[in-house]
Amino acid sequence: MLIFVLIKDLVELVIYRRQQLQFSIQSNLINVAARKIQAALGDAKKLEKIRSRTISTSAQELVTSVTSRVVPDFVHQISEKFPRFFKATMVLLTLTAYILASAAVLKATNATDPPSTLSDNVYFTVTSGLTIGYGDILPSEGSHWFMVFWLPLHVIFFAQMVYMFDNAVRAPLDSVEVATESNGEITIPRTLEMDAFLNVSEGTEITEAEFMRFMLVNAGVVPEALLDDMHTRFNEMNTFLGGSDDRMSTLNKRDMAVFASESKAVADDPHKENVELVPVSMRTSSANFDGDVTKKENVEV
Amino acid sequence: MAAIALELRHLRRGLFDLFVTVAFLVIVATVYHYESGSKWSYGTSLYFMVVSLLGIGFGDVVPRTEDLRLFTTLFRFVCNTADVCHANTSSF
Repeated sequence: MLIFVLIKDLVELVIYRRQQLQFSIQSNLINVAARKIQAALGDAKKLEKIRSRTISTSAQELVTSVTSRVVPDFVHQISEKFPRFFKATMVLLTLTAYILASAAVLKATNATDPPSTLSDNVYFTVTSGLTIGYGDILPSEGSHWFMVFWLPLHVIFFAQMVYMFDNAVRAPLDSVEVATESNGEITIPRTLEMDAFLNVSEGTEITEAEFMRFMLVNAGVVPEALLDDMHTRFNEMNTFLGGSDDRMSTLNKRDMAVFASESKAVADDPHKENVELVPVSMRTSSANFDGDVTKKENVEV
Repeated sequence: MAAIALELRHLRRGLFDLFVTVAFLVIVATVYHYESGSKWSYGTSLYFMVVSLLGIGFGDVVPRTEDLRLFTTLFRFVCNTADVCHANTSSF
């Protein structure tokens, strides 16, 4: 199982390199934001804490730099110009290499009955991997124990490769037309393709927030920059309060109340040019998190 | 960190699934071993379990007696249905 996971991860590492780049840029943003909060508060210990939490960023960068050296440049150009072709080719190459290797191992260990050539072993490998099982070439008597452990991995690997190939070849996400009805209501079509979810490389569950983000952005209802900003803002608050990621929120309602009071104070500001979609902590006027801007002004006066 | 935690959660669930499956296979293979009057070794019984659970069905190891055939029919029906349902609800 571990070998299988390793091979799958290697394929995905090459395929999703671009996404990793994006991810590291995003975590850098969080890092910068955390530093800004910290500079405002002047607490050196918490900075160390936040830094140690985002140390995975440097690991990501290391992986990216290594892959960019190992994989030649024209491969990247192909993967960017023809992503579907590239993914499908990667999957097929992996599958071919796997089939040849396992057939060679089966031949070397005389695992099939009757003892047969390499092409017969390839035939056996494919028919058993696809769970056809004609039964004309069988595992030999002595290899039953080996088959007990190998066949499950073999079949799961084949299924995964077929699934990945299907994903690669499937038509990409089309631009979705949003129907605006006569009464001004916006409806998102239910036929919106969910394939973009499959490109999420870490984990398979999606949160409700991710679902809503996906629907809103792909239906063109909400600009992506706005959602990005909200995401950054959430991460700042969450990291500051001890959470590590948007999947593990530590914010509670009291934090939201503080946030709301600050937003209200900014919105009530007579100098309206300050009201922008700048993350809270990046605004120079409200460097601390007590959220009471008017009170602070009084102190200054 | 969250990615690692998520991976660990998946790994733990996967290991649990693996443990349940292996325990199940071993128990039922023991049943086949004794029901066949020790004609099938443990290895052969497990091999039969795996080949039939995966749906390959080479046909080199098959139950011959009436009892074993009835048991296999009912048992496979329940077992493979549960397997398909489980595969559809988990991400392992």
